[in-house]
Amino acid sequence: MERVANTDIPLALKAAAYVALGFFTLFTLFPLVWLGYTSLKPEHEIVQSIIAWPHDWTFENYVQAWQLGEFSHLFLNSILYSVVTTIVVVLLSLSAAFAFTKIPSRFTPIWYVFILMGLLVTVSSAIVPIFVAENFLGIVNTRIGIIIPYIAFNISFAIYLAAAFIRSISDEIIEASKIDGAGYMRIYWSIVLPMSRPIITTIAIFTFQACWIEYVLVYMLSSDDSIRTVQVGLSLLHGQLSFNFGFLFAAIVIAQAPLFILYVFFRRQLQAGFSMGSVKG
Amino acid sequence: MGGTVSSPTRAGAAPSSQAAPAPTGWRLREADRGDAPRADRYSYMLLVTPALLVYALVIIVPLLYSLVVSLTDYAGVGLPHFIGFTNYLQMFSDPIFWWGLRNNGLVVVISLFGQIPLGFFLAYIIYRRLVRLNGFFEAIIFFPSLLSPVVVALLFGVVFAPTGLIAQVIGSFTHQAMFSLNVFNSKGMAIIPYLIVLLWMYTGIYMVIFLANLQKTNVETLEAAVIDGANEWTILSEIILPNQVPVFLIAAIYAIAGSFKSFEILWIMTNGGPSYYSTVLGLYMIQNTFTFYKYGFGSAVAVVLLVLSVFLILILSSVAFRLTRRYEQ
Repeated sequence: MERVANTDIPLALKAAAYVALGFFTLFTLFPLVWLGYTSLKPEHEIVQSIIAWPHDWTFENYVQAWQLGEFSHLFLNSILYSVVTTIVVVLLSLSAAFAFTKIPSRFTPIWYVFILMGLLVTVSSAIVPIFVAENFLGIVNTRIGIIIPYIAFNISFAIYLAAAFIRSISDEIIEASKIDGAGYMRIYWSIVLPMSRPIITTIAIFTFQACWIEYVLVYMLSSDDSIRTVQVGLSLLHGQLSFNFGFLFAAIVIAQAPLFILYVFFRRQLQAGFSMGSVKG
Repeated sequence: MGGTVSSPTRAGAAPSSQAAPAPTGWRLREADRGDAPRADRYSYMLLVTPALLVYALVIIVPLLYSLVVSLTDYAGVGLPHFIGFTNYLQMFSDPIFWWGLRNNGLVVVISLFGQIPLGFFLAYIIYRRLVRLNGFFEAIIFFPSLLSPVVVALLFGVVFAPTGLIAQVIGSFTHQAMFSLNVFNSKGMAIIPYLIVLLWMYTGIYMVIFLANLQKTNVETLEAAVIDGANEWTILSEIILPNQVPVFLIAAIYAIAGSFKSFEILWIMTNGGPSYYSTVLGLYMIQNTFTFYKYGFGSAVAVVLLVLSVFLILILSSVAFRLTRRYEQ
């Protein structure tokens, strides 16, 4: 592509640009490449040197990590929590955002600010009362007891994204449908939802990613191994196999694999989600 | 969260011809002031209630509960007794609290003066095509922000371990086979690997935020400046930087909110050690609550954390508001 406003780039600036990019790229790639090849290295080679390139490549670490870490059920749980949460968050956030932006109401400013306050609240600051409440309701250590907080902690940001998008749908379309006799529910379902496909993708990808990497909540709310997730399983595996880098690294790659796939196919949507107002970091 | 960050155009084209402005504070639409007919009010309730209900029950009610419990000696079992501000006083006289605050402060500093300026510079380089392979660099630098805290903590735990990756690299360069890195055993320095990890992981997010906003720069202004004889320095310092001031402020708000939120990496990597020298307030809270079962005390820490981040954000927002107004005049 052509460079717009094509100036002469001062040498110092160009040098600084290469240094910054080069440094950051190396800084990013080096640990990840090291992680990758070490996970394919036999244990006895790792003991000799943790930096050397593998001599005999092996998948043994992956086989062992998958079995020892009992990743099959951890994966099913992670997928279940992430998918269910994503579907519910998409539906609830679009509904609320549509009402906030397109149905006039004097309550909207209050509710909207109320919802945005959630961006400041962390899992950790609410975990104790959630634990107490779930204990009282008897849903601690159950799947539903994990999914409900997951929805709540992702809803604020999803509404923020959805409201920004739906606001841009022109009011004329909605007014025209109202004149034709359509109610808001009908407009929402047959006009706004189909038009919102781009933001639905963004919210879905973003929520899925957030659920997949979540750790504190499941760790605190589950004592039963059968409802734990990949992240919690991985952190517990660490305790058992702390000196066995090969297993550990293979397990890390396994836990990260779905996000890598997400990254390859949906990087643009993820970037859009972050740039529309991330509070991570 | 006031101010415009960027339009959702990168998520796909906005459905109308106009680009969507992001929410600007509480005023969503002029029409909000009126009220709708009854049938519309029912639709409104039907659409809004489920989200509000889940949110209020899981987030707001627990926060209020924390506020109350923080004034008691609740220990998870038995009846709580009201003890006034004892938990708060005890916290402020606890050296671990102050170490946590110090480390949280360092996290804020690395976010504000590390992640944000670096993120901007990287975005600027890519936006202005100062180098080749822009897309490649963009993709690589963004990648770590997607990793899970557990993965990052385990990976960098090994990188910074006494005989880990860095120790072995240094050892092989200096020909000391037994070289060991003692950063995790040092009182003052144990937090440093965490700060480096944060810089590694999240600078990409700020790059993406700045990049999205840079892409909204008016190209004609740039072209006109070039015709008027502007060089790259002038473009950077007189057009691009002033334009990005609001973005810097919003990025700063995100950075502060985030700085008080995350502690999972540290939890797994150092668990606050040696003893408590690398702790942060989030971790301090979790440990008091779940290791020592001091629910009341832990709730008090949670309240202080939230108050601190709201306070800092309010200060920043008022600065942001004044600065933006000055730029608009």
